[in-house]
Amino acid sequence: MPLIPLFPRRHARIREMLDAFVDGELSPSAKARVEAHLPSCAPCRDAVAATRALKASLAALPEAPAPRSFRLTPAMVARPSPRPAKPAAPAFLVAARFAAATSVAALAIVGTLSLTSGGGAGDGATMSASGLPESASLKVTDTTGGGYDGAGVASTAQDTVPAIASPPNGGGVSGAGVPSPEPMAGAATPSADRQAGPADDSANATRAGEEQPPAGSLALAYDAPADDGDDYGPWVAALGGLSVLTIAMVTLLEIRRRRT
Amino acid sequence: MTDALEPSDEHLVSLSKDGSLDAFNSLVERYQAAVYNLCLRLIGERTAAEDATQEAFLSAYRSISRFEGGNVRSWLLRIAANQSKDELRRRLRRGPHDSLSTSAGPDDAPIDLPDAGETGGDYVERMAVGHGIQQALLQLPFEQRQAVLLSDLHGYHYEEIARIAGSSIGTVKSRIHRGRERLRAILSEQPELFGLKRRLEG
Repeated sequence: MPLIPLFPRRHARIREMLDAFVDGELSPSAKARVEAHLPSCAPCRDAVAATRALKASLAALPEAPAPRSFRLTPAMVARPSPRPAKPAAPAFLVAARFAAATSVAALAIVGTLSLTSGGGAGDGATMSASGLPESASLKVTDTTGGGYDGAGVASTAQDTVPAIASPPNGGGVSGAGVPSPEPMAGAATPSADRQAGPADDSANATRAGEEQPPAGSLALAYDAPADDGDDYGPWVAALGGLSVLTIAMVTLLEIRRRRT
Repeated sequence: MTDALEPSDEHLVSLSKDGSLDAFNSLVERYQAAVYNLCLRLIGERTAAEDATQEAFLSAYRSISRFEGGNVRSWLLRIAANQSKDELRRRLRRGPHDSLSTSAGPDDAPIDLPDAGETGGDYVERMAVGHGIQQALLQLPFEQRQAVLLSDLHGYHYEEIARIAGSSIGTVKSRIHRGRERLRAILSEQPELFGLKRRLEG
């Protein structure tokens, strides 16, 4: 008949050690404690007996012979090299990856050139609109100031132009800082739109620009000489388009390859 | 000298590292029964256990250069346990109808192998007990099942089990404790395992 243990906590601790006790995995002192406890505790003695029985049943589980030989054949071992259909695809994929990397690199170079060449606001605007959509939209959210309607891309010129050309344009800047005169903005709109023309491929940037047209920047963009020297705009646009295309191609190829 | 009888594991491993597939296959033959049985008990289904066993040996062969010595058998069993876990995960992902824990399909029975020369009554009971234990084992969390099997079926000490499972001895201790507790609870609810039930309840 199971006795209620006199010391419940000690009993619980002993109980947790019974499996290790049966397995012969207790330290000598722990083992001695269990052995001292057992004679006075029927539930623990039962648990020990049950554990021994379970252990014996598990040990008695029949061992299955190997159902066949698991020897490795040279063909199994050599499996990684001869993948039949795949070599063709990877070669193509490598080319696509190379094309993507090259066009992105070229885009970065031309983009940097067009930024640092100190060109007109037009260049700056086109550049940030098509070449660096992310930074463009980032900057735009910064300037949530004097919201006004209209001329998409030109707004980003506000960010590039002051950085490059603000000293000479000091007056223009301060003038434009005030929520600006309507006629000015009206005048700026068509020309800025024309500037944005080649960059329109990049829907991203254009959308970003549309969200955010501070009027002040319009005036500024218009102030700056737009027809200044080297025109990287088309290059940036073309390379941007090429980059998007090649990256999309690589993505598609990778997805297809992983599915098969 | 020893080569005249049986080449040692270490010798076969070093030959395998030099690229000898024959030497590795000697290890396969030496341990395939142990590896297959662990997979079989962990997975509970023969075809899947065969797949896991084959994959385990393939994976062992490919990673033999990273084997740093020690017990070859334990090393193989560790790989086998990992393969079994992957195999179970794959089957679970494929769909619940493939789930093995409660099914009583035709694939379950053959795990309980007849033992030659056993008398009728004992044999039937052993079959029933073996089947019941396998079903109960499959209801344990994988790590507890692995620990209990390595201890009670393969006869490993906690220290070696910890090495195979990649865990601490304390963890092994508690996995075995909780695993057996759960096994006892499940098995004592199965009236068909009379003999075992009587013994389990003391």
